[in-house]
Amino acid sequence: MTTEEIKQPTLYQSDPLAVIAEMGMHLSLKMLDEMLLIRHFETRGEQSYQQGKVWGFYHSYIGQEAVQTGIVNALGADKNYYATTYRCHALALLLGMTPEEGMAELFGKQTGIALGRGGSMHMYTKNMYGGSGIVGGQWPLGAGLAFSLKYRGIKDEVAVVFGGDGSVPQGTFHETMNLIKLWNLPLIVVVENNGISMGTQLERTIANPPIVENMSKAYGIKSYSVDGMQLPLVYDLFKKIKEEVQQTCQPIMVEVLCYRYKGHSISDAATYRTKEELERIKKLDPIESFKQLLKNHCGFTDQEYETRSEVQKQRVVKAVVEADLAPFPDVHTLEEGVIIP
Amino acid sequence: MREISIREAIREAIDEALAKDDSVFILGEEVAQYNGAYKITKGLLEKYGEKRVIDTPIVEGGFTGLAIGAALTGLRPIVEFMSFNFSFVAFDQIVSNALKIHYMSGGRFKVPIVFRGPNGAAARVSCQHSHNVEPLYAHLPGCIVLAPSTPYDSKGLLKAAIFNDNPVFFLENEMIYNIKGEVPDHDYTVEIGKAKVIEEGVDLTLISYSRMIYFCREVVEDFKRKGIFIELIDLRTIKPLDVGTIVTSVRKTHRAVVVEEGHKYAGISAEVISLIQEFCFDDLDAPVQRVCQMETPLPYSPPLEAETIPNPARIKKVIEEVLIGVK
Amino acid sequence: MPIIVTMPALSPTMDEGIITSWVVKVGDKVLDGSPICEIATDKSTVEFQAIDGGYIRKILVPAGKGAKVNAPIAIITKTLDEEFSIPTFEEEKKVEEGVSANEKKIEGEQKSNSLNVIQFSPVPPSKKIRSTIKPSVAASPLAKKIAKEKGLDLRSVKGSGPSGRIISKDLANAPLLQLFGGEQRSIEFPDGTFDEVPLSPMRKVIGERLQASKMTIPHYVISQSVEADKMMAFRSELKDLGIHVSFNDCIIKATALALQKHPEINMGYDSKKNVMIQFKTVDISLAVSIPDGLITPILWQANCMSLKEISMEAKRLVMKAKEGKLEPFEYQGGSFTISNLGMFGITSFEAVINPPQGAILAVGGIIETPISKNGKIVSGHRLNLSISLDHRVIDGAAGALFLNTLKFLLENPTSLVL
Repeated sequence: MTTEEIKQPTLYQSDPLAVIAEMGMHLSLKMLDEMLLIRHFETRGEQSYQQGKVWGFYHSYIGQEAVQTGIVNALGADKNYYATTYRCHALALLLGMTPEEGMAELFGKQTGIALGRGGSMHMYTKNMYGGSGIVGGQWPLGAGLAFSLKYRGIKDEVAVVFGGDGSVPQGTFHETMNLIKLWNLPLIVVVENNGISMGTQLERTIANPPIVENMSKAYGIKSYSVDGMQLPLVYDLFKKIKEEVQQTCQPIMVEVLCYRYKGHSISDAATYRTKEELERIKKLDPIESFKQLLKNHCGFTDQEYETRSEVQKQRVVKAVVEADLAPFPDVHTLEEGVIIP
Repeated sequence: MREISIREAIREAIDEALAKDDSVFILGEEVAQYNGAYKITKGLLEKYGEKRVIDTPIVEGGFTGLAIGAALTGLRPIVEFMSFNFSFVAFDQIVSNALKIHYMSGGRFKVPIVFRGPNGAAARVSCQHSHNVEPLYAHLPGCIVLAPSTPYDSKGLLKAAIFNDNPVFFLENEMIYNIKGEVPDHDYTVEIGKAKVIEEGVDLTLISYSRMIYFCREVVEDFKRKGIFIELIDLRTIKPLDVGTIVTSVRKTHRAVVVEEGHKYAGISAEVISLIQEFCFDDLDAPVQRVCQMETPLPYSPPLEAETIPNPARIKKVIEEVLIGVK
Repeated sequence: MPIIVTMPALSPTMDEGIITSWVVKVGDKVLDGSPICEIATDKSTVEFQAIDGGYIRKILVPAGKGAKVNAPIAIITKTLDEEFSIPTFEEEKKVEEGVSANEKKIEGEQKSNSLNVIQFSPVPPSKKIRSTIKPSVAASPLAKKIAKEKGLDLRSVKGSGPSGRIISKDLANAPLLQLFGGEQRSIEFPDGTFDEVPLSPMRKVIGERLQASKMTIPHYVISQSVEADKMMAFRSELKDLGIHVSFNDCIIKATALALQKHPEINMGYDSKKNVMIQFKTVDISLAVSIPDGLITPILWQANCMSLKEISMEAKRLVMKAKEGKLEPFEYQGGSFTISNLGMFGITSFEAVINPPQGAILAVGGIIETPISKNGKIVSGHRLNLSISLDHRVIDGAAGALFLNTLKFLLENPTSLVL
């Protein structure tokens, strides 16, 4: 099977212009800024990695920005519970981590969001519960977040857990889907299908695609699929989903189709994609396409775009400088905070 | 004071915790409607309802991860493993999440979770159902490991564990669930991290925990009749170890033997003995010895099982070797 | 600000990469994220993109060449006319150090045909640790601790632990450890173990002076035995009168008088100018032992001092020497040195000349010994004098005559009261 031959799900449809009109310029530009921030952060984060200032693994979100930006804005950033995989920088930035805290964490400095102890794969904020290093390790954790909301009778918030197509075959996925339906937990399961798990194409890892459309039937969970490269569609869908979850107190599974430009992580030379395919993917750039929508229908100009992009870029450049200057954690603090006294 | 069994003591601890704090709940296989595979949770569903006493499907990874997620948001789950052997199915959730998130998040989130259930050999349940998990979990930083041997300690330590903010492994033993002992009527807890000298002596220090304590008691009585007085220490908490109590005793008696139900290689006794030689080197009149389970998976056949785990005869023999030349 | 594009680390193990080709040239405009070159790493060849767009102004590493990670490979500026300078990268230090080594080699080869002055170092300690001749005593740590605290000898204790190990109970009747004999071969020290002790400033000075003295001065020694009985009686008489002089004081006085009579002994050698020195005053240096070394305070014009004055001055100088309070004018100089080891009961010894002086007198102790007198053997007391002389300055005959005068004066101590 080639990429074209894999059965595609029925995608959620909506009129992007109507959505943008409803969002309004203020929110639209906020989301554009957020996507730009993520793009610049990941770009410079990777550059820092290549300069030897960031180590270990680096999983870039470049290309997928519209997914989490749309979702967090639709659901609300200051409440709800979120958990994701090791590809977690974007979600943390959307949920309150400053670029300074993020860059410092990547650099292993004491001013990092996790005091330098977590690194790239383990970022946390007030309502973000990781950042998870083990593929599929976050699925049951997400169920626990939803469980907690229900247990405490909190009805106006939801729990969201993200995972890639690569984490769907993991046993924990099945365990979690079964439990959340059995116990009616308010969990939104988001499968970010970027077509590849590490270096292995979808057709070689998933037996019966489309993933969510087919698997949700086995559990009796309602599902949606959406093109994750189009910010307005993602935003619109998730606003709808939040209401549904709150009203029905039932979980929902969503497959978001997207692409990542870079390799799985930096060490990856991405030889598994042909050049032509990479070019094709680039044309679908979510930031570029959102910008076009705003240009064509809202009087947004290239000039304004450049200005906004430059502002976000400078935020990240500043964060890199600060991270460079920030101190490493004092080794005397190494054994602190292992056990709570 | 009343006399109750360890089983009842554990139940009372859970009951009192559920009553005291709404954020406490218990989940696991058969804990609710079945009243618990070992009847520990008998009557609790009736009293607290299915929101607080939750039956799960057989999905250790799933429900352990779920409980950890809930703990991160501030709830206090008690996870019952029908036997700690099944905790291996949830090993990744325990190790990668429960034991790491507090440190890895820079102290942002706590994981106030208790994992409890029977540990060690039972009655001829064979190789896959007889593991002693304490060395495996105690090896990793970020957790507390408890193994009480009496009703008093079981109730007091479990209550302390439930309200502790760290992940706690509470290791029970099916073979001693029926053992009775006295518990006070008033509310009490037992301090985590404190061992107990349950028999005073001068000739040798014998250190153990959980079911093995009862074998050790037998041996101590035996030696008393011959005029040898052994000091018996019940660890109660395996991690963190009460180094002070152990060292004070060995400095007094100059000889020590450690008995554990688990295997020899890299077991708890290896840790205890290492500490003894570190802190009591000049006070030792003989090398410290240990009595452990043999290096085989635990076989089914009764005489094989009885031989492979420590028993009074094996313990006695080792003590005699350590006492050569004394009396 | 110009943007310096550096070689990226495209994998965690990459140290260096080779630029296989440039897809841009100087003057080209590039956008953010557009490719600029291809880089071959240890694992694969990848396309490398510019993070920030601008104009390519310089390509620092041509296609086909390599560069280390973080080394500059190109320069980009936002505008075509922005100025820039080429950055340096810290690789170039290694060349300069090799040069001077060669120059030193040549100098060394011009030395003479004489034998080399070799230097000496101790043999390194043996790598082998010998097993003890007797097996080491097996005892429990507690038993060893008790034995050490009470000074008990474990070797003669019978152990009742397994394999005869000594346990604490066995020490009830253990004997005390004796001071000497049977030292257990230490496991810590293999044969030939040594410590290095650096030279203190004083030791360095003493060492340099005496090494030079022995190496350059042609020493020879003449000895003479002196009958000391009369000097002992003389001193005893003075003591009865309440006057305390030491044997050394007498020797100093006698030596001063002898030098006065034999000015050819009161000489030295100036090795810088290569001339002999004739001292005009008799200034006697006394060798005094002090912690970590020795020093030589001077009795100036000792021949003009009475015995009593010599005695007081010598005492004063020795005390000051032992307190470390001598001033330079009190120990720099002198024409002749006396060194006395008599207080240790030494029979005789030979001293090293103190340059630029020409001679030094070594005085032994007074020993009771049989003496041959008029064909009969009687008991008496003898004292040995040995004088070391610089043969460039003083010949044997002169030395012998001096020594005989000294002997005469000491054997006729009444002469010392003058």
